[in-house]
Parts: sequence; structure tokens; C-alpha cells
Amino acid sequence: VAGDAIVTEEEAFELVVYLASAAELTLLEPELYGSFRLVDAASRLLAPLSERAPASRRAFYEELKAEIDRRKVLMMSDKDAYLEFVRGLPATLAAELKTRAAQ
Amino acid sequence: VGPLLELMRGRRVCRSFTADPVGRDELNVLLDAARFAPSASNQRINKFRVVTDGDRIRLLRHLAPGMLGHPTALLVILTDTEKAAAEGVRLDLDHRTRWADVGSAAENVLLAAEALGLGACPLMSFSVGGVAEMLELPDHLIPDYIVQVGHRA
Repeated sequence: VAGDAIVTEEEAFELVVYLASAAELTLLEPELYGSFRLVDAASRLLAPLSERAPASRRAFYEELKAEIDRRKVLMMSDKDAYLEFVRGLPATLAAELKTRAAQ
Repeated sequence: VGPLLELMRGRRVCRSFTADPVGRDELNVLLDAARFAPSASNQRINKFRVVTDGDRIRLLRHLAPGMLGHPTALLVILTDTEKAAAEGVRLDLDHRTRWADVGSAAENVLLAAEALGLGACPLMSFSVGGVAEMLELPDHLIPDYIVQVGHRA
């Protein structure tokens, strides 16, 4: 939000609105939707990162967003595949974190 | 019966839309489909709102986590609590009337969209209070269901 303004204040606030709406919905929806909403929020946050992050990282964000968008909807058609995806996602991101920390 | 069954069998949820707007004539067909849906005891406790303003739809998307794509039109099915009270419908006790009517209207709209060659997607994962505020609805109109509409990408 500050400094290099990769995410604008407006985009951040829109994500706040999304998260608050999702928080209300998860009181009513099946349990698995809680996970789905968080993954979808990650995708929404990746949109500005894909557009405005330093060029060297844009491809990573774009591919991550595309992968999330492709596989998140498995929650509605193939629960096992969705769970496999979600369980594997943190390790993928951890590898990226390690790479960045080592640079 | 054949063509109708084919429509039912062939209809699929659409979550990926082009930016092309839905025409006014097409929207009127969808509204007609909603209006002519069966209604319990012909009490007609639903009203319908069409949203085509792109900026408004974009804002609504933040209040509707179930809106995964970018539709160019929304048909909002509202329950009119004042009309329900006038007709003697006890919404606090009788849940079947409300949801049967909403579901009937929604199905009509989804099938009409399919018949027009449009993409459509049901939407119930939204903040009712948030959407009501964004659409500036009076207190007696409750947004119960939204049909997302657009041209299939």
C-alpha cells in the first residue's frame, strides 16, 4: 500500500470488503467454503501483484494466480483434488519465501 | 417437450464472460421469464432488479464472494416483505413459499438465458445486507438470489 504502491488503498479496501463479506457467509456455508474463500482472496490479492510487482517477480505471481484460479473451483467438483491442491500450496509458497530470503 | 428438455440437459453454469453487454431485448426476455414463473397461491411476493452498470457490478463483486467471474448483467430476485405481509404470507414461519418462488423464478431465468445463447450462473454467496446497501434497496426488499448473466467467453 505504501512506498511503491503495488496495491492501491482502494484495492486493499475492496479486499477488506470481500473478506468481511466472506466472514459473514462462512457462518452459513459448508465448512470447506471457508478454505475456498481464503484461497480466492489470495487470488484477488495476486491480481495487482501480477500487474505491478517488480518485473522479475510478475511471472511468479501470474502463474500462481492462474494456478489458483484453475484449481480452486475443484472444490465444487472434485473435493479430493481440491484438498490436495490446498495442502500443497503452502509448501510451494515456502519454497519461494526461502529463495527470496537467500537472495 | 423435446426442446425444453434439451435446454435443461444442456444448461451449464458459466463463470467466464466476455466484456460484451447483454442487450436490452435479451434482458427483457429474462425479466419476462422471471415474471411468469409459478408463484405460490399467485401471491407474487418477488420483485426483480436488473443491474448492468459495470462500475456497480464491480463493487458488488466485493460483497459477493460467489461471483467468481465478471458478468455484464445481474438479475436480482428480491422478496418483498410488505407484499408478503399484505398477502398473509408468514415469512417467519413459512420458508417453503419464499424459497419455492425464488427458485422457480431463478430456474426460469437460467433456462431463458440458455435459450438465448447467453451464459448464466446462480449466485447466493453474497452478503444480503451489503448487497441491499449497494443497491439502495428499501428495507422491505430482500435480495435473495442473483443470476449472473453475460456472453460466454
